Amino acid sequence: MSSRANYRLVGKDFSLPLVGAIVVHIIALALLIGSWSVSHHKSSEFEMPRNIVAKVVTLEQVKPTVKPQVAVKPKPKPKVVTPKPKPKPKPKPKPKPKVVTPKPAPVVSEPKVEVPVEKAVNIAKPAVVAAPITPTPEPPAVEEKVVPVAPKPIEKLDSTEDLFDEMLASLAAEEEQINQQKDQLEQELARRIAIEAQVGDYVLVITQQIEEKWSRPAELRLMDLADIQAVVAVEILPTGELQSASILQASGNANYDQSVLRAIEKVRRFQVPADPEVFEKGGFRRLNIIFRPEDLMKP
Amino acid sequence: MNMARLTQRLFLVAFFLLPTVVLADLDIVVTKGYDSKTKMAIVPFFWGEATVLPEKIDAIMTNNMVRTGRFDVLPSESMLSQPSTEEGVFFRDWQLLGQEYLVIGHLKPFADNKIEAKVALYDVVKNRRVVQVTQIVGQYQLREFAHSLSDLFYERITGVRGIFSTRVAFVTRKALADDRYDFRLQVADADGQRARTVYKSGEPIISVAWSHDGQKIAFANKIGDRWKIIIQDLKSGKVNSISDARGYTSSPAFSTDGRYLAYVSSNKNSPEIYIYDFQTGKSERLTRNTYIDTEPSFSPDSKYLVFTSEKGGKPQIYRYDLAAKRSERLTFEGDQNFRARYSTDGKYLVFVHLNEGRFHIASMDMASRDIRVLTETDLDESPSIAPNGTMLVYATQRGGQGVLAWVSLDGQVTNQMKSDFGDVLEPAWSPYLN
Repeated sequence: MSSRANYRLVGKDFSLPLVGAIVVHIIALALLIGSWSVSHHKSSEFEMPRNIVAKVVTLEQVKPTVKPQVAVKPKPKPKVVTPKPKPKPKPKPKPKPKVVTPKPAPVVSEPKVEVPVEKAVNIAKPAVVAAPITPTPEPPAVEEKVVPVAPKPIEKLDSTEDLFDEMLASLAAEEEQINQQKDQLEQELARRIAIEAQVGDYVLVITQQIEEKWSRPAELRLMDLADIQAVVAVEILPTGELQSASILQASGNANYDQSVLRAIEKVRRFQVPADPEVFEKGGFRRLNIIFRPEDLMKP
Repeated sequence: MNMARLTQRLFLVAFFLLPTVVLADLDIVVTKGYDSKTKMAIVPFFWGEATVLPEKIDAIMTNNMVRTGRFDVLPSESMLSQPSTEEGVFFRDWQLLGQEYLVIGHLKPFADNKIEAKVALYDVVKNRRVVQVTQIVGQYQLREFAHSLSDLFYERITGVRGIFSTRVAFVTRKALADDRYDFRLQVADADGQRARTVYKSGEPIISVAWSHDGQKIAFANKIGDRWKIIIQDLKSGKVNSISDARGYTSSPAFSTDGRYLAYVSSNKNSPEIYIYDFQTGKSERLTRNTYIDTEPSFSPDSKYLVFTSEKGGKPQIYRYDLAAKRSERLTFEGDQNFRARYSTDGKYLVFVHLNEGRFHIASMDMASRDIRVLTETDLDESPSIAPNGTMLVYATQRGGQGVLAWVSLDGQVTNQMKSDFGDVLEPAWSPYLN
């Protein structure tokens, strides 16, 4: 249930910057760096570090909006400052900003934008809420980790129109791809939620089917049943027919174990989702059935 | 824009994390069972001769299974076919009828007026034969044969030894003229059939107890103004009694090896537990106090005696350690607990449990000392438990007459029987007999 709730959250808010889940920061960061490094090659002539690519895109497309919205500028600067001292070692991403600024007017703003992105990844919440407040120390730490991966060579690119167009085109393509993936993901999520709902319904039905067939040994009533439990691994065909049932965890009472296997066998045909996708993705092919006779246990 | 792309990336990342959460094996937790009865079809056995056999094996087996309270036997009218050999068994037919087990039988004449019987049990759920029996039986052994078949099939199905070949002893009381009574000690099959009288008296007979080999029955009989313990050998018909100077003896109980007999002997106000040694012919006193101590019963290993004592003010169950010569109290729940008996395997005690004015049968797990209330009854007579621990037999009232009632552990009354000799009292289920 909880996992389902999470997916919904992500799905609804994905367009908002706030969405970034702290849990996946590290992975996301890695992805970002990867893309930056690619851009570096393109902007090899520039003195700027790899950051340029990401920044450039933002500027041209939504240059004005981005800056105001994010209001992250303050942060970038601090970073830039720090990187300089350690140009080669780690801060590569930040160094670029400086170089960019000089040549194209738009570029200048870019650096700032890019930096925020990095920060946002690392510290999504702080950046959005109050960029200026974010402590300088944090960014450097993040950069350090990231920087090593990025190419250090500071190649200078001539900011020709062709180069720029090329960059834009590739970025647009990337954007398109991302959008497609996003749509796909959205559909997938919706599907998953639908499947999960069905899974819950069928689990209830199957539980009922088994309860109806489970007859406990009479002598169980004499016993102290604390903690008696058996687990049966059940394999079911998409038709609902029982393929196999075996004791995964024995209870220590042979008659009890027999009674649970018998209950499964007596069901014969389980009520499973007719939709093959729900059947497979819902995990109906293999069930772990836990038998714990709480109704016979002492309160 | 940057932020939007960022979130998209995060989104993608999340996408890759999802599958592990959603595609795990499905766990289903079953916390209760309907405990519906096992559905069984017992096809009327084939007998091709014109003569009528003295007993109907399939009918006896049907009654046996029904009496346990855990079988639902299909009426023969509802059967789609009535096979008597394996070729005629089509599992699908029986599955359609919702059956789990099927019994078929074929009887044919054999030499010396005997019968050759071929009987088989099938598991209809698993589509296979469970067991087949071929046996030559005398015409007057058909009832025993039906009981032993019932024992075999019951054990194959439930994993628990059957009790159909055991016996039940009980006392009957019939009012005669002049305020006189006719008391009889009778022994019948576990289903109450074929009762025969083994002892008669004009005075009350109480506390009937079996020896563990099923050869002897001990009981207390009022003789004059005293109570005497009588030991009846069922095979030889010989009767012995234990001499006791005080003259008021009751509640006999055999040790498992048959060497000792625990019993109660009393001055009028203070019954105490004694133990008699058949080898030496001597008695030893075990309890010594001013309270009532009664109803002793040996543990299967004969190391302990459980008994009822009013030491604490009300009847409760205690356990006496024969080696340490010390007793400890076992029951603390409920208003009163008494008539304790060990289960055959010694793991449980079964006893009468009185709580808020109602009588229950309760069991105690000797390992955990936890009490479980099994059945609630309106009966105030004490029950006797079957040797496999799955059934009880009571004496109760029906239509103003004392009858025997069989009760399963979940409280169903599965059978009742009255006697031609008046009220039925004091039933005692025998141990396993071989």
